[in-house]
Amino acid sequence: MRITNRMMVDNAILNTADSMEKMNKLQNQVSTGKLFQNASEEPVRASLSLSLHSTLRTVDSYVDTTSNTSDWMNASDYAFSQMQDIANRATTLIQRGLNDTISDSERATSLGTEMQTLVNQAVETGNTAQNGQYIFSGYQINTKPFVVENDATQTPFNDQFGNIGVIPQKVTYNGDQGTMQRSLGPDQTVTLNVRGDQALQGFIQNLQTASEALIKKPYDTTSLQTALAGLQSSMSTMDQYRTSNGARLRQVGSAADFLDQVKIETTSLLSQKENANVAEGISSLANQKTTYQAVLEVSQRAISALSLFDYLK
Amino acid sequence: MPSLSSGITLASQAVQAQSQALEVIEHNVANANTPGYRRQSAILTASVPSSLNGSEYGTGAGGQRGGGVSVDRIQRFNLQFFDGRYRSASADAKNSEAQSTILAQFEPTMAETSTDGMIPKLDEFWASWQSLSTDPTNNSLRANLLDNASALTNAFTTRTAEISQLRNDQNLAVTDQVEQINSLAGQVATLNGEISRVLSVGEQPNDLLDKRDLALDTLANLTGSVSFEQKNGEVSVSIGGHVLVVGHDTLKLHTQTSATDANMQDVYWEDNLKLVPTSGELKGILEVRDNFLPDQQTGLNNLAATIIKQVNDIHATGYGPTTVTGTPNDFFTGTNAGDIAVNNALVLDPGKIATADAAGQAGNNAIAVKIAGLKLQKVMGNLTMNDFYNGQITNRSLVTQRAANNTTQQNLVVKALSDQRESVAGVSLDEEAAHMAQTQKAYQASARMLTAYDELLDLVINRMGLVGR
Repeated sequence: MRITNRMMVDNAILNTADSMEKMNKLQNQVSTGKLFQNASEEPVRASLSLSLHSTLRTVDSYVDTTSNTSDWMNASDYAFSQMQDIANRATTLIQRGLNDTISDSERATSLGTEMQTLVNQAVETGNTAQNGQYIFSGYQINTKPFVVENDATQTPFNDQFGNIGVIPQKVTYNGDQGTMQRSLGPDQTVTLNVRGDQALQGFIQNLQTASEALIKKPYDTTSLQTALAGLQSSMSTMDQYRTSNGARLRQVGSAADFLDQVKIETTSLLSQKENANVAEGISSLANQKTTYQAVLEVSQRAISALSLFDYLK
Repeated sequence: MPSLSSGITLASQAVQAQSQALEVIEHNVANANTPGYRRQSAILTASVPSSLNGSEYGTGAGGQRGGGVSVDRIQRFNLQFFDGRYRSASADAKNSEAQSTILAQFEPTMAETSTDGMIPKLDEFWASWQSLSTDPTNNSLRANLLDNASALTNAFTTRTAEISQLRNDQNLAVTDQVEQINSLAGQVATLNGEISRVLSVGEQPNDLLDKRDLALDTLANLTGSVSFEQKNGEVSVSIGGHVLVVGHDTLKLHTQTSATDANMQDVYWEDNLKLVPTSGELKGILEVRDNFLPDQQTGLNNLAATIIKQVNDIHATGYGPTTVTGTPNDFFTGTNAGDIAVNNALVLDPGKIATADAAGQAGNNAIAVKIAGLKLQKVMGNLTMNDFYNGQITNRSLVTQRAANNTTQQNLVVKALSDQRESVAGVSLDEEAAHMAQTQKAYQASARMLTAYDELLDLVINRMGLVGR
């Protein structure tokens, strides 16, 4: 083939440009650590990488949800454990009250007073708030669920302290029947809250009844015994709800573990799809640099080569 | 006997012929870098011989006497067949290259693989609903949702603006190219006239042919036009079967506002037929402007419309702390990717963002859960919104990749053809140097011949007939 000077120069330019482009690509890969900058460089990998990134963001949002959810449920569980302590102490007090050796006034002053404290504690525990939100009031998270107030339907009684016509108290639930659901994953939801009216209202009411039975004058063993029976039955109800809360808490825990697992796997998949092998990249870059130098060397000879004109005299 | 004067004429003709040949070499060297230049060569030929006259008979010589040398013609090295193939390959390459260049501009402005991509914005929007669902009374989460929602609507509107900006740029390019095509067509017509005139007087219009070939190359690059040479040396040029240049006449192109899109200019012939470029840069530009970019916009509009409808349908049935029952409560306003926006009523009062499916239930998150769940619902045919847009990105990047690959491959073909053409028609300086030396020697030798005759004449004129002086 007849080769002209212009072909030599054009080829030299083309080859240096080509080599430069390859080097630029490798340099980008090494310095960013990514196999591609624009989707068009690797359309299929890019598409996978986009959906894996999306999966990661979804997982992250569920991770936030599970951690909030378990905080809330742990608060419920803690409230239950406090209630359990209150219940144990209350049972002890009532059993001492049922003992015939204790005098009526002592029953009222020492046992009745402590029992009233326990009622207050129980109400307070029932009104536990997590992040300023009441956890036992159903959907009405801004409303205190439990209030103790006069019960006009009951007959007033006289107490051991000389008060006449004491109005019996009742525990009112101001929440609603809402059960809040939280998503732990695309198709997995869990009930977040325990409703105070189901789990706690009966227990607090029974505590209140017991405390009234302890101070009532004249003392009535039957009503104290009834109060004890009621208290024990409402304790077992409360226990059921605590167990179910615990079971759900475990569900949230295993969902969180699953999400962590998904996150780890997705991240490693993602790195396979979009991360450049830096060691390989650097050695290819070094290789390409050598090639580029060779191209430059050859090109400068091609371009600046002496022509016949230099030798003619 | 040959006359001495005829010898001088022969020698001086030889000197002239060699110096003409030298000039052609000089012309080649001078134009070694001129685009479109085809090398030329002076074809020398022996002059018409003369018959021996009567007095020369019997001297032993026979036949005819050589008449020296003359330049027969100046040959232009060109291969017509290469030109056709070269132009068609080059037009295809320009078509891909034009597409590839525009698409390469388009891709980074969409920034889909970065955190500014549409998919991250969508994810953040759904994630904000998800977080709001875990804590519906938290006002900072409402503010966060509004923030991410407006980032999402911005992602739609900036993309729409980018697409329309890019289309407008291409529209300008189309107008420019039409002017360029008209001007080139005019050049070809003028050159046709000059070439046929030069040819008709039996001369070789080599440099005019170079100019015309260059114009034809450029025309083919722009439109994929093809040309046919006629017997009188003129070429006719046509684009997609419609004549652009015939003889000295051109049929001009003009732009007029498109019937389907008032912002765009379509290209028409003088006779009001629409121009259909078969290849070349113009085709690439029109392809991107009229097919690729509108398709992208349609996809974006579909996605925006789906989000607006799906989110609004759920949101309108819900309640926030300050929702006024009975008044419509949309989350988004607008109908497509150009005008999608967050309902201003919600921006002014984030309490109107609906999270509950019944009034007065602060902890009720049913609506927020439902909207967050849209992310994974197949609401676009059998695809989720994310999948739909992911498909759109993949499609777009495949087109971009194909255009770039086509450009590289077609340019290799063009390079090979251009090398072949250059191999025949290009100027090699070494070759010219050799020819120069060769011609120079011949010139010197002819000049010496002239001197020899001069001496002979000197002998005859100045020294003969002096016997006995």
